[in-house]
Amino acid sequence: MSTNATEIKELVVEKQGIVLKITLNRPRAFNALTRVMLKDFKKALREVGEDKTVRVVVITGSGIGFCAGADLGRFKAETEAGHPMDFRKDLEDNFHPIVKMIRALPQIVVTRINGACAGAGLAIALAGDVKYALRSAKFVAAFVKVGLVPDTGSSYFFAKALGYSRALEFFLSKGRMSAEELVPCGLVNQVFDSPESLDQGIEAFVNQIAQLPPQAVTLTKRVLQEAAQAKYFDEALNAEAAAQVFLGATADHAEGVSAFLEKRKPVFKGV
Amino acid sequence: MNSQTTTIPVIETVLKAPVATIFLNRPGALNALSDEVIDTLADQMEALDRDDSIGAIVLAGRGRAFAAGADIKGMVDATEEELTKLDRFAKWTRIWKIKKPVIAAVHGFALGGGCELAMSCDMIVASQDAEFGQPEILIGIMPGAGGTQRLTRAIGKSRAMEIILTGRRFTAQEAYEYGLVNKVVPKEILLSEAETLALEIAKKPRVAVLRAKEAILKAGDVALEDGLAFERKLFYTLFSTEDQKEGMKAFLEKREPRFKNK
Repeated sequence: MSTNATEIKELVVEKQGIVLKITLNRPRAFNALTRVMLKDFKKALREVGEDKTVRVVVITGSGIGFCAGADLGRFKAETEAGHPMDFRKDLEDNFHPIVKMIRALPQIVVTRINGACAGAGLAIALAGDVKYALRSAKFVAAFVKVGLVPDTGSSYFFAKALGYSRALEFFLSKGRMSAEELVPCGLVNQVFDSPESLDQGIEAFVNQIAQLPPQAVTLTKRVLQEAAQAKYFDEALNAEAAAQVFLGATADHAEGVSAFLEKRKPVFKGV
Repeated sequence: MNSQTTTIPVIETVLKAPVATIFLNRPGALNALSDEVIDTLADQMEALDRDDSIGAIVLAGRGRAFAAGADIKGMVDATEEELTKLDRFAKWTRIWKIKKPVIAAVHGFALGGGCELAMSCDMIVASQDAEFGQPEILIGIMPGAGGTQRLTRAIGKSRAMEIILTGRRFTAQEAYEYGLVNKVVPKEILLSEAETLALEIAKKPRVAVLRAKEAILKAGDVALEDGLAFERKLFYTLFSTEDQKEGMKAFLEKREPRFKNK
């Protein structure tokens, strides 16, 4: 083992206080995803799910891009000679778990979209609970040009937010949209002019989350996920009521009410 | 075996009368269902079935999964003759004969024996991350603790065929749409939801609950005509209970009934 090879990690995971920062780190390849990266990514997401000290997960890319999607060259090269690539297996084992786990995490996931995203990178950027982007970041629909369809959830994210027709136009004709253009439909929450202001925006968001009772934050994520997918109004009402039954019995709820009545700052303990 | 391994019980029961929650407690093995687990589980369930303070049971798994299947290591070298002679899966019958309502609270994997155990319960509440499946086919066998029968009755022949013959996993949402699970909830409130449902049932007049469960299970077993006759017979027996008198009187007097479970 050479030390150089192990020092350059393609996925960097750092804990900074209540934040876990996951950085896709192949800047020269615009952070295109390899199987190794995806495996480490899955592991990091699985571990942070159990870590109650982490309240916010930030996902970003190093260098000038966010993520260029799958490194198709690398995927092909790694596939045994003479065997066709098993797309379903690759999606189900390597890509789907990432976007599913991001949504399933109890923490709030912020995607820090520092530059272009394409292919599966689009989907990872948009799987975040909150999407903060550089104004100049480009969203590139790379799938169809290489003879594939939008995957890893990108069809879902775009069709839900833009509607069927505008999503179709994006993938088949426009091919790219800027972060700023995606603000009105909600695919991007906010845009920032510089990496510094982007970081300040994320810090401000993290500081707000830090003040809130953790279980209520998680369950707000859950009831809104439910509401976003609900077919019927009653489903959303039921999801709210179920969460309220649980939260109503927590110490943090009692503390929140007492603090409000006593006009003091609440001290939440996560129980 | 040293004493350290025996101090951690494979099954743990938490009593909050009238509800009891049983936890499969081998998180390191994703709650794989060894003979010891099934035996201990059946012992616990039978004890709760006899306990008058308990009206409903929740069955959940500790750690990352509900139960990720059977104990493969313990079976790899088994022979047909041995399995037939020992008939290890016959132990499961004890679980199937529990009279009180049992609710499975399923999170993570419910695979193979884990899926069969969840289906052995009367209701299933699942968390959004739950995944069900009968992957036996992938290791050269087939479901052996009720999978082919219970899954087919729960979700229909075509779907059961696909799931059992491909071994593919299906999500909580799919299981809900197939009618296999009662509700899908965020994992954070899974236990709270299952226990709330159990409590609601545990507060109902006990004898009527047990008879109704018995009649519903009969529906999966017998011809309609026989089931209807069975139901009618059980219905009449309830008129010898105090709770029937109390329930009907309270209804007519427009007040809340006070049931005695008699």
